[in-house]
Amino acid sequence: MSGWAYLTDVEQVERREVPYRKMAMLACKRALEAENFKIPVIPIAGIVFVSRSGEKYPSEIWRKQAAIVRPTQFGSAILNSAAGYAAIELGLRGPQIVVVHGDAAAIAVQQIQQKRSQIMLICVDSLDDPVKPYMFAFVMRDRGSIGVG
Amino acid sequence: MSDRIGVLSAGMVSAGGKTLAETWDFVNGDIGSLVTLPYHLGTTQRRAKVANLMALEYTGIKKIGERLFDIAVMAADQAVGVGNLDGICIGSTTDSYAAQEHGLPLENPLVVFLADRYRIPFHRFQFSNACASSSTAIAAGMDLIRSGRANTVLVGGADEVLASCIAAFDAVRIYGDECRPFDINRKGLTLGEGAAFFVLAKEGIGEPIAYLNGAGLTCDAKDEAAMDPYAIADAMVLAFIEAGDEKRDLGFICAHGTGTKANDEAEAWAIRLVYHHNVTPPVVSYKGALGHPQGASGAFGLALTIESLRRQTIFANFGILQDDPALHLFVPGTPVEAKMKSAMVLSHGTWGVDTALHVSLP
Repeated sequence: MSGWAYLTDVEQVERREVPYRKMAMLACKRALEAENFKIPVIPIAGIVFVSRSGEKYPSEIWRKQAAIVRPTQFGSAILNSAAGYAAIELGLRGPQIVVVHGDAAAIAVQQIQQKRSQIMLICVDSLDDPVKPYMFAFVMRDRGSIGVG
Repeated sequence: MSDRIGVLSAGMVSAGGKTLAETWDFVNGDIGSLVTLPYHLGTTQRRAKVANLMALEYTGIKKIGERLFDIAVMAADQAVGVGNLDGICIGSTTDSYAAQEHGLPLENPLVVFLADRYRIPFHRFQFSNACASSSTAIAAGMDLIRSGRANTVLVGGADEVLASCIAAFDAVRIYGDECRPFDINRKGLTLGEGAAFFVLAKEGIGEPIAYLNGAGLTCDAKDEAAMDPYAIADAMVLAFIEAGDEKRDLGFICAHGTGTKANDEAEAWAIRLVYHHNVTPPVVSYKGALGHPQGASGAFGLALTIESLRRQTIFANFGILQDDPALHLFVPGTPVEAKMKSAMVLSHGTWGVDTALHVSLP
């Protein structure tokens, strides 16, 4: 594991009402920059996104929009919107995987082991944390064997 | 070339039948499965054609919000036999939407329900990659076995039709009155529902009905909705490489084939890219008959592809009335007998997700 970024306060991010998916993108961007990658990322990089709040935020959009669906909200209501937005902004052309339940790091390791990607970003959404909501991202890269228990 | 993974069994339920065999017969039949359901778009009530399970006289429904679980169990019970399972990887997009739509609390995801039912204590994964959810789950199951952490894994996907889903697709103007994949007059998709599950096993365990040889997972990193044929082609090539298939000699390709102008065109272009604009394998989609089962798309495709390989008959691309010459594909509208050894299943999701699964006979 190398390179990480830890956004602890929503207000630290550019605008107070930054959408959920932009927080994920910014966390990923800072993780990549900490590892000296230039954006868009030239090596094949993928992303595994997992939310500790499960599907709460996109599903809330879905629920609110169920009666009045606006085309511009369609993408945000899809559960892989955060991962997808980060992929577009950062040029991540490797596997894009959203884990609803399970170990995201294990999935990321498997992508590297199967040589589908040289680098994997793992982005963890913990905006539901009652004490300090945060979005956390780190970079995983192939530097030989990586053990997973 | 990576280790191939055996598919020991398959189970499926769809608008076309309660089993895989029934569904396969239905896809190759003469009638579609669309029924008309009401939904709301804003304050307006509309009606849309969907392929849902009502036609099956399905009576297993408990309370609203748990219907998806019943659908999944109907299919998973067919696949799960005697013996222990070491892991479970499933994909679904509507798991939480159903609960949200009906104002119910978000409970445990579907994977926990299924894992408890089949007593799978570890390696429980659920994915939500839009319409590529189940194919992502299938690839994850393959990886789990290859990594040595599991010997047998239950994989697949399930999704149900929700009014909010219909409204959402209609809002972005890709919902049609009927689905005609690769037809010159195709106008959009129709939604469907159901589930397909498989038991995967390490090579040497059991008697497989098919092998999964490779999986390609890519992202086009370009657009939320528009598809990029180059990323689709990359996924296919990665699947070929992982399978060690240099000749790319497929019996057919089970495309995502949603029946939208954009999807079918992008897939056609991608397939021609992979085959260097030479002769391509036949391309078919089941969505004209069964609707678009959203996250269960890849699982549906894999089930029908395995059945086609076993029967040595390419299933029909139901709904095609007139070829689109711009696509330069052979899309059979009726079942085609063919000697074939392998095939590929394509599945794509919003936000640029592209997947390809390489499958072959034992």
